[in-house]
Amino acid sequence: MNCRVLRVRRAGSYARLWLEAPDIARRARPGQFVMVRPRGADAPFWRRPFSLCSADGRRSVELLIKAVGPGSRLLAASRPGDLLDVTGPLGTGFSLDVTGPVLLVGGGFGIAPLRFLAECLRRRRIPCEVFLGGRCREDLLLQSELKLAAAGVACTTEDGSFGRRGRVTLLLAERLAGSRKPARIAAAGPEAMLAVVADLAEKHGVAAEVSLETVMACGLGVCNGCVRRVNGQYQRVCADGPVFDAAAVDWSQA
Amino acid sequence: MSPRAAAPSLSCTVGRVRLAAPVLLASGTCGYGLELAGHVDFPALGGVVLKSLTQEPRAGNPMPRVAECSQGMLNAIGLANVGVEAFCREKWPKVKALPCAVLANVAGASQAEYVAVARRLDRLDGLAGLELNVSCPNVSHGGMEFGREPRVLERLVAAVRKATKRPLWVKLTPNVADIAPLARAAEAAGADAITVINTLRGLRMDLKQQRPVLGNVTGGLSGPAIMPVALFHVYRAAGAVKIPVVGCGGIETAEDALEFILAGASAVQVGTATFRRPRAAELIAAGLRRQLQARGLRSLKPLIGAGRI
Repeated sequence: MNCRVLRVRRAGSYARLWLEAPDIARRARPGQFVMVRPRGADAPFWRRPFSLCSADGRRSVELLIKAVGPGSRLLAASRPGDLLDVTGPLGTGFSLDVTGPVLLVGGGFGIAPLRFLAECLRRRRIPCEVFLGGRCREDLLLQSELKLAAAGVACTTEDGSFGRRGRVTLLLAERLAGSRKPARIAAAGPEAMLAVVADLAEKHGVAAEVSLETVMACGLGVCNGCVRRVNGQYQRVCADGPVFDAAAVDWSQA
Repeated sequence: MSPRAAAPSLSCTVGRVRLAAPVLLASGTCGYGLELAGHVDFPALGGVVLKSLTQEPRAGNPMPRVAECSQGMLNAIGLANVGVEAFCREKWPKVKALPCAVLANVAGASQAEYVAVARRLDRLDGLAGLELNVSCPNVSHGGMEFGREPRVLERLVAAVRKATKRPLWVKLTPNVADIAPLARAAEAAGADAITVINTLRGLRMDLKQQRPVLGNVTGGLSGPAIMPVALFHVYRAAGAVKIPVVGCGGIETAEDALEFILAGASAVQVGTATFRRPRAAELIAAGLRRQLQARGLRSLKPLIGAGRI
């Protein structure tokens, strides 16, 4: 489907894109993603997957893009009025059947699906707390949006340029060691971070869901190219995920 | 009547298989068909060729299984599938309801396995035909082994031919010196049609890790990068046999499809293009209709092989 770029906001190597996509905006659940086709003479062959960062339920969706390779660079350079070929919403989403507080743990631009989740939880009056980590201050995105949706937002940077110095899982470990037990954890970000989250969740007996990131050829569940061992079996990240129960994922390849 | 008024029809028969359009989704790129519900308009297609089935379920190859290339991609999935029995029991009741022709694709590590899978599929009500995968480059046993030696291929196809009365297509590999003897072997053993081609063997290196990208080391190249190679093999195979040739390899547009038809293909399969544009195959069918209209033709038939010299 061709979607018009409504608005673009850039910060460093990141770009936020608002797309006119009523069908996706109506159907999307947090944790789902879209496949977007980069255009241009030097466009790569595959489309690129992006978690939905927000959806307004009627007209537009928002993507958060980090320009890291040829595909994401082309997409991050999109301008208002451009048309992008978008398919979605795809994949599974985060569970919304919780009552107690949810801890959202995001690393870098992994915060995208968690921001969407935070807004859905707020609408359902389910409290959530956000732990956001990055290498430096530039990596800590969407803080003001998260503050509106969550009961609290705590940050870490590895270089100490903002918030606590260290990794975001440090904050999660401290929080889980406290007395108020959360109902669930939802995490998205680098593999190594997700593996630590899964470990901490298991240690403290808290259910956790993680959104996995991987290279995808089709994004539709037909090619079997993006599998991951989950519950001892290969499952397709694009169609059986990208959100999985952290305890079921084989982290040995992380 | 002006040519405009004569509404062109895309409906055709390939061997004994009736198709609403000469465009099918290629095996391995449309799953069991069901995955594409909501992304593909099935009645606009001729049909789908389901992913390869083996006797037992197969987990497939280790990751990474795919690698991006210039104008194409490598895959080494390793025939991951649920196994023929689970397919027949659990998937087929839903798959048979797809509003287009459905062909199953058969793979195996031995002749006995091909025969057993074909025999099981033969019992399915509503299956339009079988396609034999003798061209998978990504498994250690079977796969291409059966598709590179004319005598071996002929024996295999003859054995499967005995196991099923359904239309039988044989999907050939381009990884041979000459495809013509293999096309003739398939024909001699009773194949109704041949599909030309499967993927080309390829490899990519990971510069950081200094090792091949794919877990399987090698993979099969698909996408527009292989289109001229596929077209050559179709041209060559169509000159070697009387049974229909189904063209496959890198087709992205109606113009690409028309090149295959002029080279001698009776129909085409669209594979990797679906990944880039889920509606690619139906757009190709619509484009072919326009091509007929522009030429004042009512069917594709006069164009099949019309470019052969």
